[in-house]
Amino acid sequence: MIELRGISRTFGTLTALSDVSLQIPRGAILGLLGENGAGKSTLMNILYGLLRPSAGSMFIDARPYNPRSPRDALQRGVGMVHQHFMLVPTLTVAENILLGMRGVRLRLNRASREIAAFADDVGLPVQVDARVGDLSVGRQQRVEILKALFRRVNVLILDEPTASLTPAETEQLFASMRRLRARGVAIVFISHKLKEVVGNCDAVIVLRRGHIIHAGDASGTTPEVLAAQMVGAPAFATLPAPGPAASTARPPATASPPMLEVRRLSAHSRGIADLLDIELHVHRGEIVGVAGVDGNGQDALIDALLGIRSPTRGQVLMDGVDLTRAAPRERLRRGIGHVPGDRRRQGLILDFSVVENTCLKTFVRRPMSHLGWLSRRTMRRHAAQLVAEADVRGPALDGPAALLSGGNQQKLVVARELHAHPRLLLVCNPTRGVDVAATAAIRARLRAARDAGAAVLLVSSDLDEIVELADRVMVMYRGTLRPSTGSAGDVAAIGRLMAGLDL
Amino acid sequence: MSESRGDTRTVMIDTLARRAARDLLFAATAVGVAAVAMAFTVAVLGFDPLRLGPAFLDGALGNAYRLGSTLALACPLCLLGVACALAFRGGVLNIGAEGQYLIGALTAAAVGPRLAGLEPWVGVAVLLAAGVLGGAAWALLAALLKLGRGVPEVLSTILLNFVALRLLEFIVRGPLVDEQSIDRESTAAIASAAILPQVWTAGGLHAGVLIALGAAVLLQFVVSRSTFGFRLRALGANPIASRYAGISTASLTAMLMGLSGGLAGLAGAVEISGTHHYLTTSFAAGYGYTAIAVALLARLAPFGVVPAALFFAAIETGTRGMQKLPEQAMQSFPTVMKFVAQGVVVLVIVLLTRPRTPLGTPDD
Repeated sequence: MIELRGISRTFGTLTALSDVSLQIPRGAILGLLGENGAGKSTLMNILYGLLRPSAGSMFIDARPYNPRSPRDALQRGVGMVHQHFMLVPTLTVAENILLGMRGVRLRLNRASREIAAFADDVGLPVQVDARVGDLSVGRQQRVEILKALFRRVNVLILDEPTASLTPAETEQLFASMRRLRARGVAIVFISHKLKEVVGNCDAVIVLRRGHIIHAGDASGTTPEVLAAQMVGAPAFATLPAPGPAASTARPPATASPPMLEVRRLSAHSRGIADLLDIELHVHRGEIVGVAGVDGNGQDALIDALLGIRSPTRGQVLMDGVDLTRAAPRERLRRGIGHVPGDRRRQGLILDFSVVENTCLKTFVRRPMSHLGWLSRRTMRRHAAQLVAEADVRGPALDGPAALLSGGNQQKLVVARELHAHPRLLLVCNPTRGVDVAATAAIRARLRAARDAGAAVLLVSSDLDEIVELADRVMVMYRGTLRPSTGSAGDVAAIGRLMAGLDL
Repeated sequence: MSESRGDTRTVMIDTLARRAARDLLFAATAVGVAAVAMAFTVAVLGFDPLRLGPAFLDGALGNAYRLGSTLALACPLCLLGVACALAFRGGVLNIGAEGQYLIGALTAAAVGPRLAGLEPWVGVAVLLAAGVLGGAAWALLAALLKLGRGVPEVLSTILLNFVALRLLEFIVRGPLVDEQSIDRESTAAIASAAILPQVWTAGGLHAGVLIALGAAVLLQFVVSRSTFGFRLRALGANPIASRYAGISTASLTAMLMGLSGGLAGLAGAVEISGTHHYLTTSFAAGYGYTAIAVALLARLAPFGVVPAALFFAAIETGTRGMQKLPEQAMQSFPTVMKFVAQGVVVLVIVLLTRPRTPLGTPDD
């Protein structure tokens, strides 16, 4: 049993957590919900010894618990699996699990056998001698969980564990969680997906602005109730109507030439085809959804469309102009917008200020600069306008983008890309790891861009997102792209294509 | 992000002032800790730090001539420091300022004797341009290796330093040797039209100091205010996002390398034009390596390089001053102490530079 009493944490004048008290019994799964910036990560970092509370106390089995580091936390049996994995891709599974453990004799063979046996025993079998970099995201996550369990952890914190998993992997994760619960492990499950929390947790806590605003049994509540509590009731009034209704009302403008036309596009790396004879059309005023399990060539497709990587064969045309050999800058200049899947690496420069990030693609042009010199006042005015428009909340315009929360970073990227009124918009997993209110806002903006005449290519591994937004659906599987012949809402057909089966 | 839009100007100045104050505090701490460590070290060696301190200051600033020497020495350190700071800021690890400096001096010394009869300012301009081109060309070799064959510039630039040194020795003793010289270790003197004028006769200071100061100020503005500077900083902070933002990282890398090498070459030419007037095989003094420490102490800000270069120049001239103390005991004060001092400063800089971890920031 782990217990928190009156935990508070302040950063300067900001109160991230205020008087949080909770208990997690052994063999229970606690769902932790909250918008970005509600205090979830702060709370978990305190539990895991990465942060110290400003006030309050913690107990494990009635003994005081004051971790000063993750090492202390692990010693007391508290482990954490971060949203961004902390694994060494070039090492094997066994080596990753043993890494950093004290008192391990480096007899890898024996240790590997022990780990394999342990993994089977807890019901999370893995191939211990596989290189972690070769494993799927779901498998890597399993390694992270094993890493914690192998250190005899009995309180396990999972920080948005389903954010990057496929539906099948997500189901496997829930099965693993149930097995661990049966073994007496207490699990803290952090998620944005309300259905997952209601369906798989014993108890639910909702945080808002550092306060616990709801605590109770998962069985006694519904996703709708939790959502209202998370975002605060007024936010719901502004939610737009769901997509399919809007999309059925509009016939795709097939009369005009397509904004994006891709002909037999292939790309190879070291002889392996990442893209194979891709055929794709996106017209003005439509959203084409590309569904598929991550890692089936989606990144290669986007990079080839942006000119980041050059194809081995095929053509990319935009509004009839051949851009196959054009540099990235030329393509951006012609009106391609891009909301990348990895905002922290591809979309933002975290050390740059919010102002600089809002001008990342426009700083060369007037009015952001003149004759090679930046106009900082114009840049700042532009940033202030974007931030206000998109309701980005964070420390300061001149502060680094790294200080914004994930959801606010994403809102900033979406606002920047849409503000330029792109003719073609490439979007990858735009709402991954983003809270309910921000998700609704981002989807509404994408629809608005479509309705204003943009051609939108939406790559997402979130099937719900594809079904909700897309007018047409294509499915990527091992570098090939196939249209789903059924209606956009035909989830069964899409699922079969995602699994590589024929229709 | 709630402040109104009216007072953007003050906010901007505020952040700038705060950043400047932070960097200044950083540099002061580094220098302070290094001074204490040095005092301790010389005490252990049996010298009296209380007597050496004033001797150090006297050596660096004691009279017009000494102050002039310090400023003259700061001049190449400043240009080289700006060269390093610029490249590092863009994520291009040019460790080859030394080699580019030597090649710049070599091309300047090769052109110099042929400039007789020109207008003075034309002669100087041609000489300096030759140095810039020499240094830039040498640096672009490393850029070619990187972009063509994927050779890391850290390796190629540092190795090219040694090639540059041998090349300089070969050419000074061979093709460019001054037949009239006794030891055949130097080139002919450059034409008087190619000599930088003196700006402070009492201190023996040449106009190169104004060039160095001008370069630092100009490049500070370029880095913080120009679109080129924006690109450069973007590339240094996140090359991946830079590519997605449409910045051509390959050509920018080459451009930065050339610019950095050109500045280093300029430093070499200024030394030939302002101080030496001819090139000898003993020209290399390792300034290109000291410049790396100068750039780090300046926190990669071009203007910060000015005080940092003065500081490192003062270490050099100050240790010379310590050896001039009247007592016999003091005369044995080892010159290598200046390297100890430099090393301590670099160590303190590295210790003070916090690794960037996102921990402890509010919620994601």
